[in-house]
Amino acid sequence: MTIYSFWIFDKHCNCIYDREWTLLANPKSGTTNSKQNDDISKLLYGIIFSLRSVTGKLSSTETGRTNEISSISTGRFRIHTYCTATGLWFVLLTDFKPFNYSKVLQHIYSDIFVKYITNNYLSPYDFAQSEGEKRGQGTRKITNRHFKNNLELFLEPMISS
Amino acid sequence: MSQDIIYTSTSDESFKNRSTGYEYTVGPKPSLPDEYTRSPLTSKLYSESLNTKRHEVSLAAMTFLFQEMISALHKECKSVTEFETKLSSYGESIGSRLLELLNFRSSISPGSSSRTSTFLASSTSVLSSQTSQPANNTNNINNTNSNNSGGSTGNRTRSRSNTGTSSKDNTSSTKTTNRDSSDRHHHHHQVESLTSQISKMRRRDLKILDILQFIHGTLWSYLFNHVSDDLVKSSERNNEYMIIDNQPPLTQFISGSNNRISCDYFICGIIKGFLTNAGFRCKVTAHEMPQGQFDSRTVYLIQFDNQVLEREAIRFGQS
Amino acid sequence: MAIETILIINKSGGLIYQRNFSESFASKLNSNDFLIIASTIHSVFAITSQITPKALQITQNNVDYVIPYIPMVGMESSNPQQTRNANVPVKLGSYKGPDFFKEPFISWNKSGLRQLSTDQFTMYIYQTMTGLKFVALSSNVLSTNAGTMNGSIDKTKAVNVASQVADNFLRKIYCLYGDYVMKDPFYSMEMPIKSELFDKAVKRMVNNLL
Repeated sequence: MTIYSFWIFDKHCNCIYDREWTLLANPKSGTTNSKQNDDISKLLYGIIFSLRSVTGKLSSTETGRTNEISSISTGRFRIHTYCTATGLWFVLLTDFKPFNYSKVLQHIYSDIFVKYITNNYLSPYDFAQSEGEKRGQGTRKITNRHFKNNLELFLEPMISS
Repeated sequence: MSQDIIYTSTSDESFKNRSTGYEYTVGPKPSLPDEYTRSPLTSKLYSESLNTKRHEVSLAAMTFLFQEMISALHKECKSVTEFETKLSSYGESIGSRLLELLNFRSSISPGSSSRTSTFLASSTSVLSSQTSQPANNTNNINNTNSNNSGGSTGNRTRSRSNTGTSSKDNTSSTKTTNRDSSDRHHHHHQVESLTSQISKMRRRDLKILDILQFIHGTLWSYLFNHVSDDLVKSSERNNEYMIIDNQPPLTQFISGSNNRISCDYFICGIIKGFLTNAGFRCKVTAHEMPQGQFDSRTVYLIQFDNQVLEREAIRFGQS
Repeated sequence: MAIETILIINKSGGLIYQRNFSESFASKLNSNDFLIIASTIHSVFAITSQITPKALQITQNNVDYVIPYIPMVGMESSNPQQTRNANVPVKLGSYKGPDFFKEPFISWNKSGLRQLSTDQFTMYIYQTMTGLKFVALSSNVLSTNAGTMNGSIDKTKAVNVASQVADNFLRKIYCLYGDYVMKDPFYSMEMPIKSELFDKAVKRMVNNLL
């Protein structure tokens, strides 16, 4: 399994954290928090958003059954998503071999994000800069050192193995 | 946000140049041989010898041609009857030619019957049987005796086994053709000498039943590679006969039973042309009669003119 | 693999064929909903190639696009319950032999959306050279309990096979399309498919799929 990039989107459709590995041999390579306003993050968001609307329509009406997207694949790579109740999306781009990453994303959310961002009084809860912010400009990023380090530590063994 | 045009389904230029398949901006891109380090997938189709194959027209090609004919006719016709009449007239010219051709082929003496059956095995292929003719011809001159199985044209099983042996000989004779182009000229002379193989010319059938049998057997085998599924005389009317096809091959892809039946008028035309030119004036119509698992079972109803029946009564007496 | 729904989307994103094969979640939708779904899939399909990760662009590693041939997917003989026509050879229109094709093939869907898995269904997309898309909605779900980091290899393989079966199956639907739609003189290109022969053939194939 190989990991190419990791993204977090908030409820305002903004990318609040991104990490992309460019050289698989070197886990330190790549960029962090550089693509927030890039097309790629918007397109990625758009894909997941549109497909969520499709799956929402196609879902069963039975109560208690959710129809969340677990993965989206193309011929070259696979997108794994994990959506929280608060509207946060955790997105992982991996190679296209079918492997279930939902537990990985769940772990990132519950053990890393909640621990270092949500439970951190100094970190903003809402990453939009102003109350009126809907989408686009004026968003903050996750810059917490502990969050970054722990995330790296957790994902490093999966980057290229 | 940068305002790049999204070339849908491509990621970057280099990728775009490499990729195969459908590109929204440029249309389909064929894969080039040097595009992969691996060799392209090989299909058995390319390695098979053409000579050992039976000569057949591809059904797909035939139906595409037929489809174009139908849609061209459909555009210019205003009513269903006009459409059916015109389509029928297309078939008639084929039928009248087939009367000549099939009677001629059936008259080749039993000694060279293997060749006759090769023609028939070629099913709808007029063209390919003609091209195979020179090769077969030499083969027959050399091997007339060895292939002498004396099977009649209607004997399908035997003719198939003969096809196998004769086509092997084809391989050798076509090789010589390739080696020396002047040989080809030589072959053509032998095509003309085919007449020497005919000891007795087959006459066209004069009785209604005989000619219907010929249609049911020989004509159907020539067109569709099998005899028609049934030949029935109407119990109600004296002048009506029915030829039944469980799965008409030519119109099997056309949806809507009314549409399909209209298209079957092409076959009606072939039958009509065949019979009319043989002196049996008649009217041929197509009807759908599903039975059991055959949803597209088609009945070709042949209604002979009264004069045909009268003539038959005078010529052969009341039976 | 139980197929719930099959969609065919033409090269400009219009829905030209849609059938539900069971009374499931998809059957409550009206035709307008399906039109929207089809065009959404079409546009997402195009966008997915835009977000190819940098690492993939740099390495250009040759992904194997060859789909192996899986024998008799959706054919009569693959279904042991249907032995009634055992003595009558099944005719496959203009295709000869017991199966539509017998060789592995290269997938034309290289950068676009191929599979979408959710908690309730899996969607498979097969794209042809000409941009036609065949979409199958299967009620089978990617197993979610393979969650541990070193999840079993077997399960990974099983999911891979499922997508290969889907590609084989949808390619056969494409073969049927080639026969019963393309060879129908009364069909106009890019328009909704109304051929009941095609309908019947697709239904038969879906039923044969166990």
